[in-house]
Amino acid sequence: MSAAMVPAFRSSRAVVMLAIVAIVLVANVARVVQIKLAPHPELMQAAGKRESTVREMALRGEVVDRRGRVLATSVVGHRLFVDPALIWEKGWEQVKRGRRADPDSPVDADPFDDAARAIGFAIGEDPKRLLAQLRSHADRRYVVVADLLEEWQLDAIRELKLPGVGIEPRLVREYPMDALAARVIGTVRADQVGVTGIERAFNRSLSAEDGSMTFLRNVRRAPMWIERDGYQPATDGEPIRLTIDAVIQEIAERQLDAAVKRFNAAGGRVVVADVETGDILAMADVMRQRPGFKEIAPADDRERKPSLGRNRCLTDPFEPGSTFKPFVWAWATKIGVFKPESRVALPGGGPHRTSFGRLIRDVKYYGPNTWRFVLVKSLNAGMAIAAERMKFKDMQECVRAFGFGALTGLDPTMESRGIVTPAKSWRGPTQTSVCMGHEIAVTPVQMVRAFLVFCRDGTMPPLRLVLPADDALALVAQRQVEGPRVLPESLALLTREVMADVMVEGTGRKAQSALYRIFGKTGTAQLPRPNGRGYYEDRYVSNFLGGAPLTQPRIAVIAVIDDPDKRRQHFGGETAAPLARDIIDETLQYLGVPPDQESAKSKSIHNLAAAARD
Amino acid sequence: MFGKLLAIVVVLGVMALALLVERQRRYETTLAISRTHARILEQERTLARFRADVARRVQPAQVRVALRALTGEWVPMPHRLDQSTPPTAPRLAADQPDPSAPNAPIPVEFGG
Repeated sequence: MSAAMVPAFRSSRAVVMLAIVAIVLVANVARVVQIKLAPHPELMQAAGKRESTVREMALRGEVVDRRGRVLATSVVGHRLFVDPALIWEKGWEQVKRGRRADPDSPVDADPFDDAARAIGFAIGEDPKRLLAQLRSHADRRYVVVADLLEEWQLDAIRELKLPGVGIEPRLVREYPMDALAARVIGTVRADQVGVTGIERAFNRSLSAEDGSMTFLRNVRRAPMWIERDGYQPATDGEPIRLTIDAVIQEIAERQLDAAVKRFNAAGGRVVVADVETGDILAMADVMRQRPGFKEIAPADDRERKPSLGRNRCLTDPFEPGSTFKPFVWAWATKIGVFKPESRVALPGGGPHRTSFGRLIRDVKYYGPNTWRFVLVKSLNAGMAIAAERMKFKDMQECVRAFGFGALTGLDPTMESRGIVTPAKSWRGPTQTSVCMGHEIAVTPVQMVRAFLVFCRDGTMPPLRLVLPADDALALVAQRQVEGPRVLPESLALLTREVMADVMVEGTGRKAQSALYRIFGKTGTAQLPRPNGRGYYEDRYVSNFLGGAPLTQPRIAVIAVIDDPDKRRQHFGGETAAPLARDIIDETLQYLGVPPDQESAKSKSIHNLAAAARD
Repeated sequence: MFGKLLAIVVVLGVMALALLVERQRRYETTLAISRTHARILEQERTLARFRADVARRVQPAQVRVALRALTGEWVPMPHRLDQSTPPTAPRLAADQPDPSAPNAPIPVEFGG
């Protein structure tokens, strides 16, 4: 080989080698591309499923009270399920393995019995019950053993590592305050959809949207790669902040429950509202079944679960009776029917006969007296005389101006408008009935809203049950919420003063507070028969509508006692008024409002605090 | 020439290795992120459970019973800052600071 040929040889050899290397590299790349894009089915089968999708559970929004206390929240719980078929199969496999290792081992094993004993021991359940459950569902692949595991049960089951026993996460709606405000909050179905109360009314904003993650998994099934659109984050529900104060709610429910039992009543309702903002601070509703009584309103589902019952403060109107008089009294004064000190020709010896011949009775006949006296003594005759002087449209305007017959908007899904006689059906008897709170049905929340007119400067704010969740300082910075003017300020103050006299000289005497100067009005009305034919002779609804302190009212309260046992007490001044007084006393002390009764000022908790400092 | 080829192969090999390392890092990062994400979710669930537990233990009725068991006069929390009620904090009356003192703490109010 000549010297000149060596480079050429080397050059051709290099080209060949280069070509081989290039071919190998290209072949490798092509193979990688082929495996990646169009793998052989057998290869795919051997590799198995390479992608997993997991659901990311989103939490339903919390419901908290005005101070942020949790009333309803969602937590992730765990459900225990078993696969009986797998338990049986794996159990016998184990027995066979045991026989192979030791041919003399016994073969009378029962996989169900073993599993039932192990699970029962782990979760503290009776193994016999579990065994029966396994045997009766032997052919099924999914049997729920425990719907919600405690933490210690969960740990014990995880320790078991038993084939055919699984744990499934699930959302659980928790109500940490138990039955407190249950009728207000409501409840949810198993699929976390609200069915009653706030849970239903605000279901859309409380609802959560689950997310998902699809990922390429490694041999240990852990995420190896996630594509750009493989992850959809979960969206938790928005929290709802109620105007309810859990402490005031507890006060209202406790006092109401005690009063209902004391008077052996069918139930009771209480609403407490903040005067300045129209915030509902508490809304309680109690019903009970009494042996020997045929209840007019059944306690529906609340016996089974308190939150399933309707919130009667919103749904069930009632005839208020005399508690309606202050509204008509103030309106009649406003339009000039009477001045507070005007003389009213009240009957002295018997019932008043209206121009259309209806007899209006009173407990006592005082004879002519002032218009102020009519409200203080709650005289039906005086109210009827004023009503006869008013035009129909004046009375209708009064009813409309105070918001009766109109929704408060607290819960549009279930709220009642009450019952107001239409203008075309309005007659003389209607006029003289409505003036004393009959032939009109109102809900407790409507009554409280209307009463705020007297507690404020004559304006009526809208009621609120939900606060803006994103405004943490809303409560600190809150000021009086504006509302339409119903009465002049001076007349609102005057009516308040007259209602303060009701507590001293009138039907509210037995409900005077030792701490606060309360103003209000009592009412006792006969219960209408369910068939619409007249009223019961001896069954009543008694109620009280009041506020305190007199000079600078902070809260308005309505207390309703449904069908109290007449053998005990049934007048509003003896049943509902003391209940409202107790709630007012406790609530105002909780809110830090100094007592304004002269006799109580020296015992004021603030003075005690000052004394302790000194 | 052989040296050149070797160099090319080595360079390609190094490049492939670098790509593999980078790919592996991406996988590991993905795994770490997903694990962290799972831990965050778990913490959020635990937090929700704790919040429920706390709420269960401070039910108003239970707090009232607990307060009764304590001696001393308790002062209620004022309704709002913008009200004329005395600025008191929820503590024992005997421990109340003098609100007229120059460095008296500003009462904190979270609602009404």
